[in-house]
Amino acid sequence: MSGYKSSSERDKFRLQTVALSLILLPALPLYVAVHAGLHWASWILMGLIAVGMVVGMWVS
Amino acid sequence: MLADWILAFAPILVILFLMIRFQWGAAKAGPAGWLVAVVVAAGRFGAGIDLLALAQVKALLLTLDVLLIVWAAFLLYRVADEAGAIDIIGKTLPRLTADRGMQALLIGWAFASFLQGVGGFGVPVAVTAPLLVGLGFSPLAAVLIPSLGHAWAVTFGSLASSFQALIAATGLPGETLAPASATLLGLAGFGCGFMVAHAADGWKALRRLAFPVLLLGTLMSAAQYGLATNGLWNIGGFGGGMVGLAVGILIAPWYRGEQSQKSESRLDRRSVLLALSGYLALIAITLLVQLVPPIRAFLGRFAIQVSFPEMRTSLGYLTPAGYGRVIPLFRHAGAILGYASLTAFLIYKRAGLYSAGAAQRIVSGTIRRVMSSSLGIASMVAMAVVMSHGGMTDTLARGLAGAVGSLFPLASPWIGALGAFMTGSNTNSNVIFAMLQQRTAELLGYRLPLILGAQTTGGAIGSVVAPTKIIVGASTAGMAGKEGIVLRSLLIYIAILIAGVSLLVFAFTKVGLG
Repeated sequence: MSGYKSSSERDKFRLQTVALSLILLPALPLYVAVHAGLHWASWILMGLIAVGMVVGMWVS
Repeated sequence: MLADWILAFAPILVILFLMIRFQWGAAKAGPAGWLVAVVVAAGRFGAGIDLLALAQVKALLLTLDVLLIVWAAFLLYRVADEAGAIDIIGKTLPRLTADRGMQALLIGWAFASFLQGVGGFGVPVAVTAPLLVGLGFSPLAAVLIPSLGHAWAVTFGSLASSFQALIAATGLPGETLAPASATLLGLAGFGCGFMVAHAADGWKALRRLAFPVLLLGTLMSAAQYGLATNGLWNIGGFGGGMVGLAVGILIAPWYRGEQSQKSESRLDRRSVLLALSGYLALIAITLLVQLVPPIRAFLGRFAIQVSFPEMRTSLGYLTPAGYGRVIPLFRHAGAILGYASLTAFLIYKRAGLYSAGAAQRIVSGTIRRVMSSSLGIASMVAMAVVMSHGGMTDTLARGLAGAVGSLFPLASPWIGALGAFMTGSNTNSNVIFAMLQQRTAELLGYRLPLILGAQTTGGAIGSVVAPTKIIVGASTAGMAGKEGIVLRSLLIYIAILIAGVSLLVFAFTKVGLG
């Protein structure tokens, strides 16, 4: 991505992208995990979403 | 129980506190609200891991439903802005009249509403405030005028992303929600027009400009209502603004003012038409997709549709089995905006309006601009879905219904406004409070579309005084650091508008419309 005023702005954008991905993407395997009764997988994926939320909070 | 009610309210309270006390943005406060919601839902309301996980999947669908529009709406705006289209339209309007009040109506009401319709995100104030300062308005008036002027167009503006959030959050069809929402917003539009006239030229302007306010108000509201209630809500605000702009351009020369200008003849009509062509393409594509059955059916064949089992908390709160939000990928409002963006890009490119590297600047500018709001929307939607499935929204609604009872219709717009003030957007307010308002209205026996219309109308008006918008407006008009003055002046107008909507909603319920 070009056009950033500073490298910190670019880093912020990248981390926000990571955070948004962590919040949204685990939902897909979560659906499968719940239907397959894989509770351990559900916990891990919910943990990933929580990490995404924390990263989003920290970087924004 | 009061303790349960307070705990159920905790996620919203945390967001409010962080945004108001520490001035956190939605992208920062939203995740905090989600974390609190998950802890409370699991720890107090008996939500298990399966319920929380499936709520997250549902939230993903709702988030995509809203984000697709937000992303594509801003893409279209960037396509036009990069071509200089917004600049051309903005510079053309002041040439039509030297009457300050009429200039304010044309630029701060009609043009700002049009910009809200196509862009949103603070664009109406950011674009028009400097224009008004250039025309000799005081910086304070230059912020107040477009802030008030675009308020009525917020819900169906930004290609109806706030309305889409209302649909997504409540699960009710847009066709059910649109009439009441469009009616209340349309009526609020008259108030916005008169307030713009007052902010521009004082009390004397109210009588002098009553005719253009009533004419433009009627036409803009009718256009928005007609589009919104016929399944075309994604161009409701935009259509209303465009009609206002077209009619305003026609009648503006009747109000020439003291320094009559003869520059009308210098208007380059071809440039203006070319500037508007991107948006005309949007109208054409929307009508084609929505009104031609074979195209509509074909594009609707590809949809994301996920079924969910019944979910129950350990305390017994039940969410019935059913489909989550269905997303027709190629017929979605976001997709239609995407087609329009591509068409507009080709038109402007063919006309030679782009310099080298324009496409890259458009895409990178869009992605940079929407990332923060996407994070805020994703986290707040997830929070609202967890609260709803955990029975927290139901607890809140029961407490609220017991506390305010028959006065609920009076409180409803204020709740929407509070949500928008806190979170900075009508969309976020609808995500957070629509389910609460819906459940409370169900418990009290009110008509849902009216109460949800009150929620989104209050949210639309309240979003104008959100700190983020105030900061944007103040900085573009040269009032950076004086946001408190802007907020104080705006609050008076906004409080009157919301009180008016409150009374209207209350009156509607009393005459049997609610």
